[in-house]
Amino acid sequence: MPPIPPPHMLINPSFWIEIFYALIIIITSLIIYFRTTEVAKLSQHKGIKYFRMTFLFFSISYLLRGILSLYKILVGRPRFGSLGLVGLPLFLIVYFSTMAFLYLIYSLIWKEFKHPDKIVIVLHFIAFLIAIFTFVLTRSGFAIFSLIQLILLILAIILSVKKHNINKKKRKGLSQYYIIYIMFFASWIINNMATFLFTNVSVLLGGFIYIISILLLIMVMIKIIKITK
Amino acid sequence: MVKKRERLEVIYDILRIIRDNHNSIKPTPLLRYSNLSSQSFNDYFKELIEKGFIKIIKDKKDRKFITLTDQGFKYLEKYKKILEFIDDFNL
Repeated sequence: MPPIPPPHMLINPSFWIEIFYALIIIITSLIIYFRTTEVAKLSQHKGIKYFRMTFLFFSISYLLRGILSLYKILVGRPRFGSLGLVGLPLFLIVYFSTMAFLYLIYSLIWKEFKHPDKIVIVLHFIAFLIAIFTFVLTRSGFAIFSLIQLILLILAIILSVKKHNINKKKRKGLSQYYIIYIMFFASWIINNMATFLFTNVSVLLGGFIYIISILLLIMVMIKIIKITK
Repeated sequence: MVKKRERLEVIYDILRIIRDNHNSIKPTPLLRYSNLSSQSFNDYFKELIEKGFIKIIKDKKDRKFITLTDQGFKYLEKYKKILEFIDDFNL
């Protein structure tokens, strides 16, 4: 059983910042997910389906991350490779956030596959392998995981630009919302690195990353609300 | 070369034809106006029935007519928004 937190932890601002931040991200992601239910159902468009799933996985990942952050504040910094109460959420965070990134990429390239839904099994398998790999490699595992996320994000950007070049006649440029969407995921990677890799991130820098992430996600949410109104 | 219509556009066109014909059209003219092969039309027709976008009704003389359901009207209403969504997020 974890030790009972000392009372002064409950008046620690970072305790409440973590809770507040996780709550905003979870609620916003879930709003995006649920607001797009109708258009997804009406259109049966695979791209919309995978876009929604990105945010569902993202919210689950953040829920776990929030729990873990609380644990870190109340009990102490968890370690990779440790089993049980701490090890499992860490494993699941890696799994769900990798799934979010894989779905982000897949929402761009699903048209290349004859049976897109069958490929989803492969995505789960990849995410599972990455989570296992990260789990057993302790701290360096998380560095590799952050690097994999970064590579996935760069891949998503390359695919977007490629897709944009193919559809050049149709569009003037990459949509500003798509750029915001990608920037949000970039801020998520930075955030992950700050949380798990660097032990002494200044409150100011941490707060700045949090605010940027929230603003970008809210911009995506507002666009979704406008579309689905 | 004429651009191949996307799936969502074909569905929109079929539903629009029905709506523009006072929400009641026989299958044969619908096939003709939709500009699809018989095979494609049958596939889409089946899909639209299954999704509940259209339904078949019969008049007193037992003639078949196709009409839109509420879901079909909703699709027409949301079509542009769906396209905007797909376009804005590069899906």
